[in-house]
Amino acid sequence: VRGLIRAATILALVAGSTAAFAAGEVNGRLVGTVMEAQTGAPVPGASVTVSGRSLIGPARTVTTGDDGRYEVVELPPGSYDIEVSYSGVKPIRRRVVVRQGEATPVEIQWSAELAEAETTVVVEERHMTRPDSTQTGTVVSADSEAKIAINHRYQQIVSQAAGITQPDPASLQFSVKGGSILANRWLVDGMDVTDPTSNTWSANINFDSVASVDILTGGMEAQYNSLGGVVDLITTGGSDEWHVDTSFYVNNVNFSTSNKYGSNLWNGYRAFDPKPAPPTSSYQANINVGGPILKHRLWFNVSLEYLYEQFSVPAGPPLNIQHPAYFRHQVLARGKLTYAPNDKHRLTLAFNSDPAWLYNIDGRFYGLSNYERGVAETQQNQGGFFFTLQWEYFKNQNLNTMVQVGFQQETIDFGSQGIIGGAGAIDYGPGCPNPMDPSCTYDASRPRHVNVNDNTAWFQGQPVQRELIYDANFDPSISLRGKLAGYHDAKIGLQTKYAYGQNGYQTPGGYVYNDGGLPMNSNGMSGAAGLCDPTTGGINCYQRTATQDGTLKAQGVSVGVFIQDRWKPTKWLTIVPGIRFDYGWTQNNYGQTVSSLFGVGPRLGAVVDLTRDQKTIFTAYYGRANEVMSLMPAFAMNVPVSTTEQWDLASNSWKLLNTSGGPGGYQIDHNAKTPHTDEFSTSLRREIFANSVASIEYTYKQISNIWDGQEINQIWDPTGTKVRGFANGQPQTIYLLTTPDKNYRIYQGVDFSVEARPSPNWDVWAAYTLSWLYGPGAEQLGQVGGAEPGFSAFYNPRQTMFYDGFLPEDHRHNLKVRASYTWKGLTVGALFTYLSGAPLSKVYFNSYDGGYTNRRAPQGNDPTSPNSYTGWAEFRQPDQISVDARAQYDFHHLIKAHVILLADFFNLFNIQEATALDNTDTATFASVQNRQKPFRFQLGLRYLY
Amino acid sequence: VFDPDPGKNAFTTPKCKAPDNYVYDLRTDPYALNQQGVIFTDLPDDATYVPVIAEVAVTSASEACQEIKSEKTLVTQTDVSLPENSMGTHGKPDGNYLAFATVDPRVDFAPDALNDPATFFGPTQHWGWYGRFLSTFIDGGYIPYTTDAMGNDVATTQIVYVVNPTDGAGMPVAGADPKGAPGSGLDVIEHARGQAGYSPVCQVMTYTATSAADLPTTAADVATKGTIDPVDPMAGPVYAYCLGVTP
Repeated sequence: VRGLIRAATILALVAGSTAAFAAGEVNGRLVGTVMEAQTGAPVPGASVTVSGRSLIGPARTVTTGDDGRYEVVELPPGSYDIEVSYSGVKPIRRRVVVRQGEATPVEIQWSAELAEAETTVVVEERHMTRPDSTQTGTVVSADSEAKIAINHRYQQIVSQAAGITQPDPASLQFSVKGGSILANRWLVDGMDVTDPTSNTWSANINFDSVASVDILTGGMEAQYNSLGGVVDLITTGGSDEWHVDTSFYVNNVNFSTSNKYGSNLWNGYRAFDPKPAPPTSSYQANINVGGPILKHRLWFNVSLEYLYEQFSVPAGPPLNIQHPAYFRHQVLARGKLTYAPNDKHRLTLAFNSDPAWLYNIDGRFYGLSNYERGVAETQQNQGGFFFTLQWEYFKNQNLNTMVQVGFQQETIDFGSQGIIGGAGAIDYGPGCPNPMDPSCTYDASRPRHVNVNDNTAWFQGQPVQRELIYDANFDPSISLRGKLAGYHDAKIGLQTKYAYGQNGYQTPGGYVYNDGGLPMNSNGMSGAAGLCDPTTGGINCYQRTATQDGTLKAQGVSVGVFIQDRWKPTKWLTIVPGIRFDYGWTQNNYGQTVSSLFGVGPRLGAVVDLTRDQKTIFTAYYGRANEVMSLMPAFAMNVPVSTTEQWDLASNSWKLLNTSGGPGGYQIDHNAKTPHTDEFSTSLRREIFANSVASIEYTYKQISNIWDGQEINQIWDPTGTKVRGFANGQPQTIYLLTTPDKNYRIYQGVDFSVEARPSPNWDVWAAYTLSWLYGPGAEQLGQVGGAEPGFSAFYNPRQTMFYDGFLPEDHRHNLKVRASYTWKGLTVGALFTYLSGAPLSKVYFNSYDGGYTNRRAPQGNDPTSPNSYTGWAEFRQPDQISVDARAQYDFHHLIKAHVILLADFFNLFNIQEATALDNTDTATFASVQNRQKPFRFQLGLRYLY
Repeated sequence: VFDPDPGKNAFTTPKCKAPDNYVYDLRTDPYALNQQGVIFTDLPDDATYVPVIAEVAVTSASEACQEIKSEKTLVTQTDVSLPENSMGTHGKPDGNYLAFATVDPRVDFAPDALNDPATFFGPTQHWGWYGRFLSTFIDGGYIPYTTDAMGNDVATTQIVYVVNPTDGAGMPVAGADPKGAPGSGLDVIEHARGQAGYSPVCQVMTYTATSAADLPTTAADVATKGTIDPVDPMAGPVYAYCLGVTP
């Protein structure tokens, strides 16, 4: 069972595949008014022409209305030149940055005299107050990220936004304003590529091909449908100029501090140790080429990244042998074609592929690498592809349409390295120093053994799971603008999706053995001496689980319709109403309808321009989002039959303990309510000085009716430590797949943020969040299949009361500062983060579950005293601080070519605070289980043309 | 003890108020909401512990069942009637004593009449409260009293154990104490629970069986199939707690 748990958890964290359920903005807008400088009177009939490198085809020209207002829509993000002209007068020129999904306000004070003066200097401007939007979040551009030390993973950009935390430093998944890591939607160029089976991101993308990332944390318009946040990547396209961006990064073990193997800071490779340091390094090569195939008509951009990385934990107890290093090969390829046959049509076709091969993957986990023999390693092969096609049609300034089509296929093969990768993939060397040891002889039919006394894993990698996912999306929309009791900017859209997933199971040797016996055998020995020989039995035999081999499938369909408007009854007020209707249906392997859900998502926002100059913006918002289709519940039911037996010392034989999974292991609640989020938020934004905006936001959000599996067959005694019987008389778990009213999360938070580029040299972003997150909805479906019973309020009814508390993502304080300064080619930048500790819950051993699944105090607490609730005390991980810094020099000043030398310092001060503590009621309670990654130095060379 | 029938039964029909249309669900309900568990004021956490409880009778007045889970709440509750002691706080014992042996709540009891919803207050394992925590005990019933020359005294029954233990074939039991031992499976109680003369406090006696192949199984048998003696005539009577459960 434990083996499956680990496999399921890892799969959930690194899973890759697709889906589409929200279509995102890929363009931005310019809005403003041309006014006469002296009188403030509107200037009607002025011509506003917009051109920029990102805009394929001819320049866009609009004419100001009677009120002097102008709006240029559907502009790909980038820098634009604005030229305001009036017959017979020299034009005024401005240069502004347009960001995706945002309106960039540009107020133009115009006069014949001013026009004469302003044509001499054009300085790039950034106006970021979003004057007609209730949406919260930020847009992070590639040029900002190029000035700080960051691993080449686009996901790492996400955590920089206010209100977002990364619950597990080892996985790039995020909690957005209280949502779980399973509540977000991941979009690439506006297409939803969220994995439908795991509800996490599905694809890896070459970091250099990402032009900007729009991170929406709340206040969303009706076109978005997410219980958490929305991350929308805009990838780099071509242009009328040729561009090359190539780089190479080296990260060698000799430039880094070694990792730790144990709880204490000295449990690791030490200075002056004559042995070579355990291997930890990475090498990455990137090339990106873009340019015109046909100038003004057809552009291309291709991007390729190769990554090799390895990581290891120093040898330590209990096995005290150097475990084979985890290593990974990954190839990321991306291509994008943009075609504009005329000024009415724009087509964008993009292709993405991300194959990767991960070897010895248990070796990167602190808690496994010294507990597992090399022959028992696990491998993962993953990857796939997706393509997206967008067709944009601009009939006129008041009417345009967009059709988005996407298709994705992903696979993950996970499990025993000897089976997934073949015998040649196994590194017998460091993990198996004694070739005469029988455990070093790999046998594909030998079962996995995990000794529950010391957690050592022997003989075989984890059970094999082969996941395959397809999904297809079709999202047309139409935008209409015009005047009716004010100005309207409306959008109507249809979002459809089909998703299919299958998962194959195979258990090498037929069983996973949990050995060692409980309590520990009489001589206190563990390891090989504690492994079970089922032919002779004895105290070392504890439990074994057989899981049925086979392939299980699930599929689903969703349809969403939305309509939204930006209504400006006056110049200083924008009303943002919207509503969406969603329906989703899913089916499991057995042809049963698992969910058939409908949701109505009303949205209503108001945006007030307090100072009437688009520089001080107040917003208020209410909105509901519904999750009508996720394959997670259907996949959760698709768990094969597992049978757990326990060794009976009296009869010296295996006795059936329980069964789980299979069609009899689940029931479906056909009256399940639709999971949904209700959000109220309000914000105040102010352009505090040139190109700089400060904001404060308050958010109250409740996520309700979260999917989970409610166990309905086991009858626990009042202590919740023992199953005394079964409702149907059969020793099995039965999960009711449902969305309980009592499964909810409540978030309240205040975000303070500043984004500033007061001069071209400075680029600063700072965000502080004070928040509370509580409720019983700590996880979703994790316990189904017996995976992690201790993580759910709905597994053991006697424990339910202990699940209402501070949720695992409840970090009270979070501060992020990203800053860089550039002077004559030299850039110094840093990313500072402070995150207060996450709640933990002390857990106690439950002999029936064979694990630490019982609590004695509410979530986030240590009961401390067994007989008095007055002893309950908050239990949290330590606070985290990290500083990553970059220094780079662009030799352009010397050699007239953009050759850039980079030096990255990750965890500059080598802070190694605990990131995980032992929360079990054992002698090692509260000891450190994992720490921040130690100091690491990376050297890079980049060439830009 | 809520609404006891003094001297007869500590668990009479509860007079607390159950939720409307309530049916105890053994799977979902951690405890029955149509019952009220007794409340303990102390736990057996030291060597002086004895399983004897001084009963304080609480009179229900339509309070919600199981709403009261601790002595602290009980003494401040206004919808129950609780006799006060001389301190005016903890309630006044009514003079009855109960044999309640507090036990580890995870211990298995036999018979395990699990699917009988009544097992929450079933024959063996009872559940009560201590400081909001569920507490488990074995109900040995009221301790009877008798009047002797010295005043009130505990009425006891006899438990006898065999001093010449043998197996069914009449052979000495291997490894057995030559004098036999209580609890070896051959003990005989004079009056079981439910019989007149029952007491959860027993005077321990020994008996010598006349026939190893035909050991007595009832008190009457002991008189005819053996001889009864004190454990140690020189040391005086020996007593033990011998809680009997409701059959």
